[in-house]
Amino acid sequence: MRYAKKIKLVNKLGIHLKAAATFVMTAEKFKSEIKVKYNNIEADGKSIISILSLGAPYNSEIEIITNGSDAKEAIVKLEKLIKNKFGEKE
Amino acid sequence: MMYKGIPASPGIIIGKVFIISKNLEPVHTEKIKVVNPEKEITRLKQAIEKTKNEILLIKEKIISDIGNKDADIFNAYIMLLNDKSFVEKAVNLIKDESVNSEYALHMILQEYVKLYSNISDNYLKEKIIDIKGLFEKVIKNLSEEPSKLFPQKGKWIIVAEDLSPADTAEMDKKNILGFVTETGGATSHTAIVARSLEIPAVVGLKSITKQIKTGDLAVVDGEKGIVLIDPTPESLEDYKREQIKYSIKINILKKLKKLEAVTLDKHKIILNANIEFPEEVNVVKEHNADGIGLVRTEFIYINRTNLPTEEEQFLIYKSIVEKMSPKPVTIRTLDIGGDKFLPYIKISPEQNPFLGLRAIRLSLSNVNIFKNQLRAILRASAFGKVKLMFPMISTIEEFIASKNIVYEVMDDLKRKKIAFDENINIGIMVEVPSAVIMADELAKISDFFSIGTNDLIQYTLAVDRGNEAVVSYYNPLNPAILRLIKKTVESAHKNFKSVSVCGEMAGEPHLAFLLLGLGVDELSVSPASILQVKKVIRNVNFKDAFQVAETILKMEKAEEIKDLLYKSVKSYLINK
Repeated sequence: MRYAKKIKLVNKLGIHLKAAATFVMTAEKFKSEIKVKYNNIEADGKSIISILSLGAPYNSEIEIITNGSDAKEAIVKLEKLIKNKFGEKE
Repeated sequence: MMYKGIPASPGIIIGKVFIISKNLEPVHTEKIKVVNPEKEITRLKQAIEKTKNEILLIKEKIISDIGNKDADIFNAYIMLLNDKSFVEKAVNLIKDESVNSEYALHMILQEYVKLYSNISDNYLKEKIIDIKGLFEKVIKNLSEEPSKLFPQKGKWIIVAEDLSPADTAEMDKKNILGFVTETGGATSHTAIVARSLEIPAVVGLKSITKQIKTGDLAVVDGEKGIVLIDPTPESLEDYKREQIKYSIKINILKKLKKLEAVTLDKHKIILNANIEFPEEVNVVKEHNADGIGLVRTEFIYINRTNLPTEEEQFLIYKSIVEKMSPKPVTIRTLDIGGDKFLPYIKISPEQNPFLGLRAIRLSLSNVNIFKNQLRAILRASAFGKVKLMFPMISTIEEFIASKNIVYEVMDDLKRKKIAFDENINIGIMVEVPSAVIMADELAKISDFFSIGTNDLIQYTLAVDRGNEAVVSYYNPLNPAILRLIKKTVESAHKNFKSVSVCGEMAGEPHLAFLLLGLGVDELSVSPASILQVKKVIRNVNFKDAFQVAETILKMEKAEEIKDLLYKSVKSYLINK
């Protein structure tokens, strides 16, 4: 099963260190392969260094691609996380 | 195949060689081939674990200090260190290319730097600094556990380009049969370690690591400086016999360790050791020398780009003095110039450096450096018996000026209530002919004399011993030299001062016999020569040595002197 969804980054700092850490922690709970795409560059959603290297800032749009047995739950959870500003206040 | 190098530690050994062919500096990111990638991977993983633990500790501290709020960032750091893409990359690099962890980390970091440079958001771009910092932490932790490329099992002759103190510290000493290195001289670290372990070593064998391989059978003859690879059965038999002869000789010498350096007719000679590195103190103690007659302090100053601090020097001197206490330690102030230079002490180019700004002259023209060293030596004098010695004194004024600086430093220490030995003996090296000529006067103001034969010969006979064309002029048995030594002894004894000889001359058994006859009170020799010299002294009568010296002092030609001396030693030496 493969899902893809474009999501806007609403937290002030974009995918910075702590946000990336939270993202990876969530992603690692799933068996599916998880990719994050920004600016035509694809990063491994379970590698913090890889995600950080995207440098996706505030208000930019990233695409989450999940692929595997729990791909649907994964993409739902990750979308929620991003919309919740990675659990940050702003 | 036979190779000839510089003999660095005596003994004969037959065994298999183990080649260490890498640059063994601890912290660096240059590419180095590792012998065992699996071990290297373990080393990397341990360094990463260690870094993680350090971060966890910081995290806990922050939580207890300021609460949970800022601790999240540390979870991110730990996640970075756990990141499979990074760990996998490093492991694969080590596995595929047999490189060291430092290099692998460096390469991966460069990759990330490149990747991050494409980020347009400045805040996010700067986050690379965090990653860099983490990599640096891991690299630092790697350096505390340097690559173990040394054999873990079996007994080996270690062959390397060079061996640093850190390398030899790493090795299991029980398993080392001998050392062979490409660089170094008879006073290199390898030589000193080998002598203290009492295993043979040959150094200065250029490119040997490229000509032989691990597992080759070799004979190392540390006395002749010979390394024989794949010896024929006949020469192997010969060497086995030599080995037995040598061990018999050594066992006889070892019995001398606890005994005093006293002649058959009970004339006591003080037998000291010259040292260059603090590690040598152990051999000195083991061979039961009466003290250290010369600490060459240059070793603290060379091979570095900045001046050693007073504290650094103090700790080194203190450790030597404490280990030797209550036996005396004579520390010579910096003897640099001539053929030894320091990058951080500027001297204008000299036509004749040996006649130029060297030794005490250099110290007197760089008073701050001089005072720095004197403070360190004086502070160490509170921890045992220290004697202070100036090299290359050539005039009375120079000695007085040097002593006045010592008194200034003493006053300062007293004001600051820092302990030192107020009755410290201050003496001079007698190694310039003018000092011998003025020895009567110098003996009045000097607590002791120490004759440096190497320079005394060089300056008296106007011969550069490094110059092949005139090397035959360099002869310790030249009658002029012997008369200068006699004159120095007489001047000192008239003033109830003692005379030591600390040049190479003292370590040669025949010459030691002659120096004994000339009335020298102390001999200071390399740690490896202590037992040999002790053996000669214990097996002769002082009155015979004195008679021989008296006859020799009347002779005019070095050749005749040599003849008589060798014959005399042969006939007077009981118990050869």
